[in-house]
Amino acid sequence: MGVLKEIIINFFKEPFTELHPFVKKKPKERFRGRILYEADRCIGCRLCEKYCPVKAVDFHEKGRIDFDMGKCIYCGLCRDVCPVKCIHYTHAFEYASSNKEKLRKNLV
Amino acid sequence: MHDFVMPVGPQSPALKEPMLLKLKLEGEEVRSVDMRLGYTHKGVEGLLEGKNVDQAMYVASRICGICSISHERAFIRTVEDMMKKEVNERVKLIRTILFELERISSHLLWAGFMMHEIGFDTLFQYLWREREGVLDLFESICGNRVHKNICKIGSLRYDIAPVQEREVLDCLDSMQEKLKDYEDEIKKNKVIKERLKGVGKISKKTAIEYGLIGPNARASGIDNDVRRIDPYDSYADINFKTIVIKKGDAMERTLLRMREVHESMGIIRQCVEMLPSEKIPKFSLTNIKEGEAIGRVEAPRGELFYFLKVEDGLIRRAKVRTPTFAFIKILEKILKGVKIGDVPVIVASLDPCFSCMERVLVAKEDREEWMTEAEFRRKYSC
Repeated sequence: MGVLKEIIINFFKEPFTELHPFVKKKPKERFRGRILYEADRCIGCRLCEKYCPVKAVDFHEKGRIDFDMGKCIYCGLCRDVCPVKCIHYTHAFEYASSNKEKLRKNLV
Repeated sequence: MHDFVMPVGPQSPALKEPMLLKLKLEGEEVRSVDMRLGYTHKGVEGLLEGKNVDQAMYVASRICGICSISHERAFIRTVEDMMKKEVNERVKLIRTILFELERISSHLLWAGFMMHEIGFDTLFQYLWREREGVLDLFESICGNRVHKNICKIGSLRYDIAPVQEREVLDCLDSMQEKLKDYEDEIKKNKVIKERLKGVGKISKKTAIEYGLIGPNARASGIDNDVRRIDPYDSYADINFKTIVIKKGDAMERTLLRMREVHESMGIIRQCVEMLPSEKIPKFSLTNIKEGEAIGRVEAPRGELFYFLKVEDGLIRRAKVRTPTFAFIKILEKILKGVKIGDVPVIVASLDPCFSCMERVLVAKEDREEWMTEAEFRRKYSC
C-alpha cells in the first residue's frame, strides 16, 4: 500500500531537479561569485594584494587592480581586509572561459 | 595453484579515489595485500609555510572538500590556543551547529556511496536528496556549498539570522522521518544484509593495534570521541551520546553512522535553542608573532590533528594528520582471506578520504629510511 501511495503522490509532484539553463537559479544572498571592484573608491593600500592566499591580486597602481578569477579561491579575505570596502562579491557565477585574459578582466 | 597478482586501481570503478591495491589471489581468495598511495599528493603542508595565519586558514580548509569546516576548526583551535584567546558563547554555538551539519552531510554522502558500492542505487539517490537540503543550508548561511569559509580566528564571518535558525530546524524536521525509513530499509533489506553482515570484521584488539579512530573505532567497541575526551566549542555543555557498538562489521559501521546523524540532529536542536542574543565580535586581523601549538577536533571520519609553529608572524612548520592517515594501514590486515568481490565494500566501509591523507612518505621496499627535515628538503628540493 505504501508504495502505491508514494507513486500516486509522485505522479502529481513537480520535478525535484532544476531546469538550469532555461530557468536561471538565483544564488542565495551571501553567495560569493565574481569579484566587483570599485576603482574610484580605492585608496591604494595594497592590503588585498598582501593578504590574498593564492596571489590572485595584481596591483598596478591606485585604482587599477586586476583580480585573476582563474586563480581565486573565493575565500573573501580581500573583501574583509579592505579598509574602504571597495571589493564586493557579486552573484555572477557563469563566466567560465578558455581565454585566461577574460578571467583577468575586472567587473566594473 | 599459482599465485595471481591483481591490481585494483589507481583508476578503478570500485574505488572513488586513486589508490593502488595489489591483491595476491589464490582462486577467489585474497592471500596478501600491498598498498600504494600518493597519486593525489598536493603538498599542502609546504603551501601553508610562509603564509600568515589569516591566509593559511583558507588554504588549510581546502585540504578536504567534505570536511572543510573541520579543517578550518582544527586550524582555529590551534591558533586560538597559541594566542590564549577566548571567544563568546554565540560564536561557539554557531560553530557547533555548522560542525554538526557538516557531519550530517559527510555521513549521508558516505552512506550513499556505500549503497552505490553494493548496487543499491535507489537508496543512494534518496540519501543524496536529503543531503541536498543540508548543502542548501550551507549556501544560505556561509555563502558557498562546499568550501564554506565561515570561521574567522576569534569570530565568524556571518551571524545566523532568525530566519536561518528556522530554516535549519525545518530542514532537520523534514529529514528526520525519511532518514528513519532509510535506516529501517538498511536493517531489513535482504540484499544489504547479505552484502554487509559479517564482512570486514574488525575486533577490538585489532582496532587498538592498528590505531583505529572515529566511527570505525566506535563500531569496534572503542569509546573514542574527541568531542567528549577533549571538549571544544560548546560540546562540554551539551547532552549527547557517544554511540559505541561492539560487532565491528560493515553493517554495524553503516548503522552507526546513520545513528550518529540522528545524534548530530539532537545536538543542533539543543544549540539553536541555547543561542544567546549577544552579538558576534567584529573580524580583525590576527596579530601573532611567535608560538607553537597543537589542536585536534573530531572530524566526521575521526580525530583530525594540527600542529603549527609560527615565527615572525609567518608559519614556519605545519603538520596535518587527517583521520584516514591513521587507519588506512588496517586494510592490509582485514583484506586477508576475503573474497575478491568483498574488497570494494570493505574499503568503502572504512570511509577513507585519500586526497586529504596524502602526505610525504619515504618508504623503501626492504628497509625504512630516516632523514632530518634539512636532508629531506635537499634530496627532494622543496
